[in-house]
Amino acid sequence: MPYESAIPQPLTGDAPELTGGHARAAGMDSDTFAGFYERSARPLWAYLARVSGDPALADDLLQESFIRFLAADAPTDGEVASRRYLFRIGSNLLRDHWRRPRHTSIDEVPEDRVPLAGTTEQSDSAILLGPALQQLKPRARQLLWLAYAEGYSHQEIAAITGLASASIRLLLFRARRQMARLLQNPRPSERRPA
Amino acid sequence: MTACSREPEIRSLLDRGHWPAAASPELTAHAAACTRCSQLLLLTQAFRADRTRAAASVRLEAPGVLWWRAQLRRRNADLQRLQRPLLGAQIFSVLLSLVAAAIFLASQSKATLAWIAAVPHVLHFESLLPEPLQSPLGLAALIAGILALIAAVAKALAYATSETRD
Repeated sequence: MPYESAIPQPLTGDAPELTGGHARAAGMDSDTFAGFYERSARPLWAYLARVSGDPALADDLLQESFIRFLAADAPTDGEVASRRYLFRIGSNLLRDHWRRPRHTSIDEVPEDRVPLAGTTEQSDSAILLGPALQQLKPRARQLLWLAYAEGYSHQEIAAITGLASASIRLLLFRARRQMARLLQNPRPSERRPA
Repeated sequence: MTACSREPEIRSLLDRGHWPAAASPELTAHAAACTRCSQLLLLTQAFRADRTRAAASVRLEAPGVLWWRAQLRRRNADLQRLQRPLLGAQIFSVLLSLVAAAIFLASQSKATLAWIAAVPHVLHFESLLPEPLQSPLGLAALIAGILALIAAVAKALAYATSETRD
Protein backbone atom coordinates (compact mmCIF):
# COMPACT_ATOMS: atom_id res chain seq x y z
CA MET A 1 0.00 0.00 0.00
CA PRO A 2 1.59 3.35 -0.96
CA TYR A 3 2.21 5.49 2.12
CA GLU A 4 0.51 8.56 0.58
CA SER A 5 -2.88 6.85 0.86
CA ALA A 6 -2.37 6.41 4.61
CA ILE A 7 -1.70 10.12 5.17
CA PRO A 8 -4.75 12.37 5.35
CA GLN A 9 -4.95 14.77 2.42
CA PRO A 10 -4.72 18.01 4.42
CA LEU A 11 -1.33 16.86 5.72
CA THR A 12 0.05 15.85 2.35
CA GLY A 13 -0.65 19.37 1.09
CA ASP A 14 -2.39 18.19 -2.07
CA ALA A 15 -5.98 18.37 -0.90
CA PRO A 16 -7.98 18.32 -4.15
CA GLU A 17 -10.38 20.99 -2.96
CA LEU A 18 -7.62 23.59 -3.07
CA THR A 19 -5.98 22.60 -6.30
CA GLY A 20 -8.21 24.31 -8.81
CA GLY A 21 -11.62 24.87 -10.30
CA HIS A 22 -12.42 21.17 -10.57
CA ALA A 23 -12.81 20.76 -6.80
CA ARG A 24 -16.19 19.56 -5.55
CA ALA A 25 -18.27 20.48 -2.52
CA ALA A 26 -21.87 19.60 -1.70
CA GLY A 27 -21.81 17.39 -4.80
CA MET A 28 -21.10 20.36 -7.07
CA ASP A 29 -18.10 21.74 -8.91
CA SER A 30 -17.49 25.47 -8.83
CA ASP A 31 -19.31 26.13 -12.11
CA THR A 32 -22.39 24.19 -11.06
CA PHE A 33 -22.32 26.02 -7.75
CA ALA A 34 -22.17 29.39 -9.52
CA GLY A 35 -25.36 28.52 -11.43
CA PHE A 36 -27.09 27.23 -8.31
CA TYR A 37 -26.05 30.35 -6.40
CA GLU A 38 -27.37 32.60 -9.14
CA ARG A 39 -30.77 30.90 -8.99
CA SER A 40 -31.06 30.43 -5.22
CA ALA A 41 -29.36 33.39 -3.55
CA ARG A 42 -32.00 36.02 -4.28
CA PRO A 43 -34.99 33.96 -3.06
CA LEU A 44 -33.04 32.98 0.04
CA TRP A 45 -32.07 36.60 0.74
CA ALA A 46 -35.70 37.69 0.32
CA TYR A 47 -36.77 35.02 2.80
CA LEU A 48 -34.11 35.95 5.36
CA ALA A 49 -34.69 39.69 4.99
CA ARG A 50 -38.46 39.57 5.25
CA VAL A 51 -38.60 37.06 8.08
CA SER A 52 -35.89 38.78 10.13
CA GLY A 53 -36.94 42.31 9.11
CA ASP A 54 -33.24 43.22 8.84
CA PRO A 55 -31.56 43.39 5.38
CA ALA A 56 -28.04 43.65 6.87
CA LEU A 57 -28.60 40.51 8.92
CA ALA A 58 -29.96 38.81 5.80
CA ASP A 59 -26.69 39.64 3.96
CA ASP A 60 -24.66 37.95 6.69
CA LEU A 61 -26.91 34.93 7.02
CA LEU A 62 -27.03 34.48 3.25
CA GLN A 63 -23.25 34.15 3.02
CA GLU A 64 -23.07 31.91 6.04
CA SER A 65 -25.84 29.69 4.64
CA PHE A 66 -24.00 29.11 1.38
CA ILE A 67 -20.68 28.48 3.11
CA ARG A 68 -22.28 25.94 5.42
CA PHE A 69 -24.10 24.41 2.47
CA LEU A 70 -20.80 23.90 0.65
CA ALA A 71 -18.96 22.70 3.74
CA ALA A 72 -21.64 20.16 4.63
CA ASP A 73 -22.65 16.93 2.96
CA ALA A 74 -25.56 18.47 1.12
CA PRO A 75 -28.10 16.30 -0.71
CA THR A 76 -27.04 15.36 -4.21
CA ASP A 77 -30.47 14.41 -5.57
CA GLY A 78 -31.25 17.52 -7.56
CA GLU A 79 -31.54 21.25 -7.26
CA VAL A 80 -34.96 21.20 -5.57
CA ALA A 81 -33.58 19.15 -2.68
CA SER A 82 -30.44 21.29 -2.54
CA ARG A 83 -32.51 24.46 -2.35
CA ARG A 84 -34.69 23.01 0.39
CA TYR A 85 -31.56 22.08 2.30
CA LEU A 86 -30.23 25.61 1.83
CA PHE A 87 -33.46 27.08 3.23
CA ARG A 88 -33.14 24.71 6.15
CA ILE A 89 -29.65 26.01 6.91
CA GLY A 90 -30.93 29.60 6.64
CA SER A 91 -33.84 28.80 8.97
CA ASN A 92 -31.48 27.27 11.53
CA LEU A 93 -29.25 30.34 11.37
CA LEU A 94 -32.27 32.59 11.90
CA ARG A 95 -33.35 30.49 14.88
CA ASP A 96 -29.85 30.68 16.34
CA HIS A 97 -29.88 34.44 15.88
CA TRP A 98 -33.20 34.79 17.72
CA ARG A 99 -31.99 32.58 20.55
CA ARG A 100 -28.72 34.46 21.02
CA PRO A 101 -28.76 36.95 23.88
CA ARG A 102 -28.55 40.50 22.62
CA HIS A 103 -25.77 42.52 24.21
CA THR A 104 -25.26 44.96 21.36
CA SER A 105 -26.29 48.49 22.11
CA ILE A 106 -27.75 50.53 19.26
CA ASP A 107 -24.80 52.90 19.66
CA GLU A 108 -22.41 50.08 18.72
CA VAL A 109 -24.15 49.27 15.44
CA PRO A 110 -22.52 50.93 12.41
CA GLU A 111 -24.81 53.50 10.81
CA ASP A 112 -24.97 51.75 7.46
CA ARG A 113 -26.41 48.68 9.17
CA VAL A 114 -29.47 50.43 10.53
CA PRO A 115 -32.39 50.03 8.13
CA LEU A 116 -33.78 53.46 7.33
CA ALA A 117 -37.40 54.24 6.77
CA GLY A 118 -38.14 55.30 3.23
CA THR A 119 -35.09 53.77 1.53
CA THR A 120 -35.48 52.74 -2.08
CA GLU A 121 -35.65 49.14 -0.96
CA GLN A 122 -39.02 49.76 0.57
CA SER A 123 -41.17 49.22 -2.46
CA ASP A 124 -44.94 49.53 -2.77
CA SER A 125 -45.56 45.94 -1.80
CA ALA A 126 -43.15 46.19 1.12
CA ILE A 127 -45.10 49.24 2.28
CA LEU A 128 -48.20 47.07 2.34
CA LEU A 129 -46.70 43.73 3.31
CA GLY A 130 -43.86 44.90 5.56
CA PRO A 131 -45.89 46.48 8.39
CA ALA A 132 -48.34 43.59 8.31
CA LEU A 133 -45.49 41.09 8.49
CA GLN A 134 -43.89 42.98 11.35
CA GLN A 135 -47.06 42.54 13.40
CA LEU A 136 -46.74 38.78 13.22
CA LYS A 137 -44.49 36.56 15.30
CA PRO A 138 -41.25 35.47 13.58
CA ARG A 139 -42.47 31.89 13.37
CA ALA A 140 -45.68 32.98 11.61
CA ARG A 141 -43.70 35.18 9.19
CA GLN A 142 -41.44 32.25 8.43
CA LEU A 143 -44.28 29.82 7.77
CA LEU A 144 -46.23 32.27 5.64
CA TRP A 145 -43.19 33.12 3.54
CA LEU A 146 -42.30 29.49 2.92
CA ALA A 147 -45.90 28.62 2.04
CA TYR A 148 -46.94 31.61 -0.05
CA ALA A 149 -43.76 33.19 -1.39
CA GLU A 150 -41.86 29.95 -1.98
CA GLY A 151 -44.86 27.67 -2.49
CA TYR A 152 -43.58 24.87 -0.27
CA SER A 153 -45.95 22.12 0.91
CA HIS A 154 -46.56 21.38 4.59
CA GLN A 155 -44.14 18.42 4.43
CA GLU A 156 -41.44 20.57 2.88
CA ILE A 157 -41.96 23.32 5.46
CA ALA A 158 -41.71 20.66 8.16
CA ALA A 159 -38.38 19.51 6.71
CA ILE A 160 -37.08 23.08 6.56
CA THR A 161 -38.23 24.29 9.96
CA GLY A 162 -37.99 21.05 11.93
CA LEU A 163 -41.59 21.36 13.11
CA ALA A 164 -44.16 18.58 12.93
CA SER A 165 -46.33 18.63 9.83
CA ALA A 166 -49.52 18.64 11.93
CA SER A 167 -48.35 21.71 13.89
CA ILE A 168 -47.59 23.52 10.66
CA ARG A 169 -51.12 23.01 9.40
CA LEU A 170 -52.56 24.65 12.51
CA LEU A 171 -49.95 27.42 12.80
CA LEU A 172 -50.25 28.25 9.14
CA PHE A 173 -54.03 28.39 9.34
CA ARG A 174 -53.85 30.93 12.18
CA ALA A 175 -51.11 32.96 10.54
CA ARG A 176 -52.93 33.03 7.23
CA ARG A 177 -56.14 34.26 8.83
CA GLN A 178 -54.28 36.95 10.76
CA MET A 179 -52.27 38.07 7.74
CA ALA A 180 -55.34 38.23 5.49
CA ARG A 181 -57.06 40.39 8.10
CA LEU A 182 -54.05 42.70 8.29
CA LEU A 183 -53.80 43.01 4.51
CA GLN A 184 -57.50 43.61 4.05
CA ASN A 185 -57.78 46.13 6.87
CA PRO A 186 -54.44 47.90 7.18
CA ARG A 187 -54.09 50.53 9.89
CA PRO A 188 -54.56 54.07 8.51
CA SER A 189 -50.82 54.83 8.72
CA GLU A 190 -50.03 51.78 6.55
CA ARG A 191 -52.45 52.57 3.75
CA ARG A 192 -50.95 53.46 0.43
CA PRO A 193 -51.43 57.14 -0.43
CA ALA A 194 -54.08 57.69 -3.11
CA MET B 1 -59.86 24.84 9.20
CA THR B 2 -61.78 23.02 6.43
CA ALA B 3 -60.10 23.23 3.06
CA CYS B 4 -61.93 24.22 -0.10
CA SER B 5 -61.99 21.62 -2.89
CA ARG B 6 -61.14 24.30 -5.49
CA GLU B 7 -58.00 25.44 -3.65
CA PRO B 8 -55.57 23.05 -5.43
CA GLU B 9 -56.91 24.21 -8.78
CA ILE B 10 -56.30 27.86 -7.94
CA ARG B 11 -52.92 27.09 -6.40
CA SER B 12 -51.86 25.27 -9.54
CA LEU B 13 -52.82 28.24 -11.73
CA LEU B 14 -50.95 30.59 -9.40
CA ASP B 15 -47.83 28.40 -9.40
CA ARG B 16 -47.76 28.36 -13.20
CA GLY B 17 -48.42 32.11 -13.39
CA HIS B 18 -51.67 31.55 -15.26
CA TRP B 19 -53.99 33.27 -12.80
CA PRO B 20 -56.37 34.92 -13.67
CA ALA B 21 -55.83 34.63 -17.44
CA ALA B 22 -56.37 30.88 -17.65
CA ALA B 23 -59.09 30.71 -14.97
CA SER B 24 -62.66 30.06 -16.02
CA PRO B 25 -65.22 32.76 -15.13
CA GLU B 26 -66.87 30.25 -12.82
CA LEU B 27 -63.59 29.68 -10.92
CA THR B 28 -62.96 33.43 -10.70
CA ALA B 29 -66.45 33.92 -9.27
CA HIS B 30 -65.87 31.12 -6.79
CA ALA B 31 -62.56 32.64 -5.68
CA ALA B 32 -64.28 35.96 -5.04
CA ALA B 33 -66.98 34.34 -2.91
CA CYS B 34 -64.95 31.69 -1.02
CA THR B 35 -63.05 32.94 2.04
CA ARG B 36 -60.34 30.27 1.81
CA CYS B 37 -59.69 30.83 -1.88
CA SER B 38 -59.76 34.62 -1.64
CA GLN B 39 -57.25 34.45 1.23
CA LEU B 40 -55.06 32.13 -0.83
CA LEU B 41 -55.13 34.58 -3.73
CA LEU B 42 -54.51 37.65 -1.59
CA LEU B 43 -51.58 36.16 0.30
CA THR B 44 -49.95 34.40 -2.65
CA GLN B 45 -50.06 37.50 -4.84
CA ALA B 46 -48.84 39.80 -2.05
CA PHE B 47 -46.00 37.53 -0.98
CA ARG B 48 -44.82 36.72 -4.50
CA ALA B 49 -44.84 40.38 -5.53
CA ASP B 50 -42.80 41.20 -2.43
CA ARG B 51 -40.44 38.29 -3.09
CA THR B 52 -39.79 39.50 -6.63
CA ARG B 53 -39.08 43.05 -5.49
CA ALA B 54 -36.91 42.00 -2.55
CA ALA B 55 -34.92 39.59 -4.70
CA ALA B 56 -34.28 42.32 -7.29
CA SER B 57 -32.94 44.73 -4.67
CA VAL B 58 -30.12 42.56 -3.29
CA ARG B 59 -26.46 42.92 -4.32
CA LEU B 60 -24.89 39.49 -4.31
CA GLU B 61 -21.34 38.53 -3.45
CA ALA B 62 -19.43 36.75 -6.23
CA PRO B 63 -20.00 32.98 -5.98
CA GLY B 64 -16.25 32.33 -6.29
CA VAL B 65 -15.59 34.16 -3.01
CA LEU B 66 -18.06 31.98 -1.14
CA TRP B 67 -16.69 28.89 -2.86
CA TRP B 68 -13.15 29.53 -1.67
CA ARG B 69 -14.24 30.52 1.82
CA ALA B 70 -16.12 27.23 2.06
CA GLN B 71 -13.06 25.32 0.82
CA LEU B 72 -10.91 26.99 3.47
CA ARG B 73 -13.42 26.17 6.15
CA ARG B 74 -13.52 22.54 5.05
CA ARG B 75 -9.74 22.38 5.12
CA ASN B 76 -9.58 23.93 8.61
CA ALA B 77 -12.25 21.54 9.85
CA ASP B 78 -10.26 18.61 8.43
CA LEU B 79 -7.10 19.82 10.16
CA GLN B 80 -8.91 20.28 13.47
CA ARG B 81 -10.37 16.79 13.16
CA LEU B 82 -6.89 15.41 12.60
CA GLN B 83 -5.36 17.35 15.47
CA ARG B 84 -7.94 16.18 17.98
CA PRO B 85 -6.44 12.67 18.50
CA LEU B 86 -2.93 14.17 18.59
CA LEU B 87 -3.94 16.53 21.38
CA GLY B 88 -5.51 13.61 23.24
CA ALA B 89 -2.30 11.61 22.94
CA GLN B 90 -0.26 14.56 24.23
CA ILE B 91 -2.51 15.04 27.26
CA PHE B 92 -2.36 11.30 27.95
CA SER B 93 1.46 11.21 27.80
CA VAL B 94 1.79 14.24 30.12
CA LEU B 95 -0.58 12.66 32.64
CA LEU B 96 1.33 9.39 32.43
CA SER B 97 4.63 11.19 33.05
CA LEU B 98 3.18 13.04 36.05
CA VAL B 99 1.85 9.84 37.56
CA ALA B 100 5.22 8.08 37.02
CA ALA B 101 7.07 11.02 38.60
CA ALA B 102 4.71 11.02 41.59
CA ILE B 103 5.16 7.28 42.09
CA PHE B 104 8.93 7.62 41.85
CA LEU B 105 9.05 10.51 44.33
CA ALA B 106 6.76 8.69 46.76
CA SER B 107 8.96 5.58 46.61
CA GLN B 108 12.11 7.65 47.13
CA SER B 109 10.67 10.11 49.66
CA LYS B 110 12.80 8.94 52.61
CA ALA B 111 16.06 8.99 50.67
CA THR B 112 15.13 12.36 49.07
CA LEU B 113 14.34 13.98 52.42
CA ALA B 114 17.60 12.60 53.88
CA TRP B 115 19.52 14.02 50.90
CA ILE B 116 17.83 17.41 51.28
CA ALA B 117 18.62 17.41 55.01
CA ALA B 118 22.30 16.74 54.24
CA VAL B 119 22.61 19.65 51.77
CA PRO B 120 23.24 22.42 54.37
CA HIS B 121 25.92 20.31 56.07
CA VAL B 122 27.66 19.58 52.76
CA LEU B 123 27.58 23.24 51.69
CA HIS B 124 28.26 24.52 55.23
CA PHE B 125 25.45 27.08 55.36
CA GLU B 126 23.29 25.53 58.10
CA SER B 127 24.10 28.46 60.42
CA LEU B 128 22.61 30.88 57.85
CA LEU B 129 19.23 29.15 57.91
CA PRO B 130 16.63 30.10 60.51
CA GLU B 131 15.55 27.38 62.95
CA PRO B 132 12.23 26.38 61.23
CA LEU B 133 13.95 25.82 57.85
CA GLN B 134 16.58 23.47 59.22
CA SER B 135 14.22 20.45 59.17
CA PRO B 136 14.04 18.40 55.93
CA LEU B 137 10.48 19.63 55.20
CA GLY B 138 11.49 23.25 55.79
CA LEU B 139 14.40 22.84 53.42
CA ALA B 140 12.15 21.23 50.82
CA ALA B 141 9.78 24.22 51.09
CA LEU B 142 12.73 26.61 50.73
CA ILE B 143 13.99 24.82 47.60
CA ALA B 144 10.46 24.78 46.15
CA GLY B 145 10.14 28.53 46.84
CA ILE B 146 13.46 29.26 45.13
CA LEU B 147 12.41 27.19 42.09
CA ALA B 148 9.06 28.97 41.96
CA LEU B 149 10.84 32.35 42.11
CA ILE B 150 13.14 31.32 39.24
CA ALA B 151 10.12 30.17 37.21
CA ALA B 152 8.30 33.47 37.88
CA VAL B 153 11.34 35.52 36.84
CA ALA B 154 11.74 33.43 33.69
CA LYS B 155 8.07 33.91 32.87
CA ALA B 156 8.33 37.67 33.43
CA LEU B 157 11.41 37.85 31.20
CA ALA B 158 9.69 35.83 28.46
CA TYR B 159 6.66 38.11 28.67
CA ALA B 160 8.78 41.28 28.55
CA THR B 161 10.75 39.95 25.59
CA SER B 162 7.62 39.07 23.65
CA GLU B 163 6.15 42.54 24.35
CA THR B 164 9.37 44.14 23.08
CA ARG B 165 9.25 41.97 19.96
CA ASP B 166 5.65 43.05 19.22
